[in-house]
Order: sequence, then structure tokens, then C-alpha cells
Amino acid sequence: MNKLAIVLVTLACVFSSHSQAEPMSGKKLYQAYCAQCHGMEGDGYGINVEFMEVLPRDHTDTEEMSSRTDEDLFKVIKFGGKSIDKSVLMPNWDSILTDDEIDLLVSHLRVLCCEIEEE
Amino acid sequence: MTIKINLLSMIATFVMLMTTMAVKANPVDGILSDCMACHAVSEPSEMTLDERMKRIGPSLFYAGNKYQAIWLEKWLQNPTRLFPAGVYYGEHTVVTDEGDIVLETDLVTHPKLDQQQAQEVTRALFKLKANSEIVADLEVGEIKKVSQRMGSLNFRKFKGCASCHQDAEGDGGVSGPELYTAFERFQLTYLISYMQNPQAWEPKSLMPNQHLKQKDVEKLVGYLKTLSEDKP
Repeated sequence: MNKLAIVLVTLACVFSSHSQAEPMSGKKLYQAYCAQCHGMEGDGYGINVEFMEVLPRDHTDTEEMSSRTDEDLFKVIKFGGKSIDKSVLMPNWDSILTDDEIDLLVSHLRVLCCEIEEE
Repeated sequence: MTIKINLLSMIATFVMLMTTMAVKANPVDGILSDCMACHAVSEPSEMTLDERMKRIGPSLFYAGNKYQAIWLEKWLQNPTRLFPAGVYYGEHTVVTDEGDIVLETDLVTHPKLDQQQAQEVTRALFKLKANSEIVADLEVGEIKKVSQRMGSLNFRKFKGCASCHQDAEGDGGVSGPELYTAFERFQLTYLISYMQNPQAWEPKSLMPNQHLKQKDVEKLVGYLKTLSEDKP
């Protein structure tokens, strides 16, 4: 009977580990896509910055970031810098991020800039 | 009872193997078994962002549609670093007072193969032909070299490629693979279709699709050709 229990537990573990939806968060998305330019801590000094002609936005700059609406931030992430007359070095992420994921990122930007709790 | 339990054990083991492997059926040459610690040599049924961020080497399950055999065989015997910050930069980035930097001592160095091994591995990799449908009907015009100056302007200022990629050793972004050897490294059809739609090849590619027209892509590839053929 013990062996049967082991088999059932093994099966349960296998299925639960694969059926569990991985939790997606604004922070994880930021680390995957944004931090390369905007920095792991969002200060605008990512690993790619050394050779850039335009510095990426410092997401920890409370004053600057407070002047941007959530709609502005959503738009620039989805459609790129060109869409708000900013640098083309900020690409459009519409092929990679869903609207829900962009919302998560916008919430995370508010954590970085203004210590507003992520939704 | 014993028979029943053994049968159940076999079913459990089979299910576990099939589920943990989670790959599409695709026979892989035994010589590639050493590559699997770092590379996906079989097409995953799906890849999550977490899995993408943990990857050490690029996917190889479509290597036969991606690389040029001559380059590959040479590179395996004398591997150079193609990803200046690793396949996922975040694993090798440290925050300092002077900005983020890549911890180079943390990067994995590719093993060096002898000529015979390199030939055998290249032969085996060229059997891996996933994504053939992407390039099957792709018609590519003549790729014309562009001047270094105009090409560089396009690459850096207009298309912003240099944010993530180097077009000269030590010059340009580091989160993406270097592109100064791209023209000799990749098959033309791969290069063009990947630049147009990276997610068609790799659903979790970190490269955004900039919705470039094929003509625009061909101009960028013309610059890569210039870089490759006009080496100092």
C-alpha cells in the first residue's frame, strides 16, 4: 500500500508542478526586458547604456515620473519612444507583452518611482 | 497486487519522463547529448519566461536553418564570445555605484572541439531543422553592401539596434548577441526572417518585433554584410 501511495504522490507532484501557472509580476517582466537599459534597480544605468546617445529614463526619479500618466507609460511601452516623440532607442514591446503585462509593468514603475504598492 | 503496483510505477515513470521532457518528438543525434546541459536541442512544447531567463546557451533545435556550416565548424574549434553578457544578461549583471556592469568572470566559456568533433557536431546540428516552414517560401532580394557611414547611422540612430547589439568588437550594447560576425554566422533567410519576427523562431525571444518591412531589414543586413566583408 505504501508503494501505491508513493506512486500516487509522484504522479500528483508531476502534474501539480506542470499545471501550476507561473506567477507573473511587473518586477519579473522589468528584469527580463527593461533592466538591460534602465538598470536592474531602475536608475537608468543599465549594462547597455555606455554606448547610447540618449540616456534611458531614470525610473527612480520621482518628480519626472510623476509628470507621466499611467496612459503615457502604457503607450510608450507598447508602441515605443517614437509614439510619444521620444527616442527610437526605446522600442515597441507590443509583439512581446500583452496589455495585462504592460499594466503590471506600469504598476512596477510606480513602485520604483514613488514607492506605491504594486497591484 | 505486486503486478498492479509495478504497472502503476511504470505508468508513473513514463508520465514523469514525458511530462518533464515536455518536448516535441524529435530524434536527436547522440553526439549532441553533451550540448543539452546548456542548449535546447529538441523543440520545447512551450517555454516560459522563467525558463528563458535561466537558459545558458542559445536554442539549437533549428540550428540547421540558422547557422552557416562553414562558420559553425570553424567556431566550434575556436569559440569566441557571441553574447557579451550571456544569453540572459540578468544572470550576470551586478549593480555598482557607477552603473550596472557585466560580471565577465561569471560567463560560461564554450568548450573547444577538435576538427573531427566539430565536423561531427556540425553534421548532427544540421539535421535539426525546426521552423523550416518560416523560410520555405521566403524570397530574398540581392543584398547590397551599404557604406559604413550610412549603415552605422541606420543601425545606431534610426533603428536603435546598437542599444543591445555590438556592430564592432567592444562597441555597442551587450545584452544581445554581437552582430559584427552575423553575416558569416547565419543563413540569410534566417537572418532576415528573425529580424522581421523574432517570436516566430523563439516565442520567448527578448528581441522586440519592430515591424520592419523586408526592404528595411535587407538594408540592415547589407550593413552586416559590409561589416563582414570589409574587416580592417
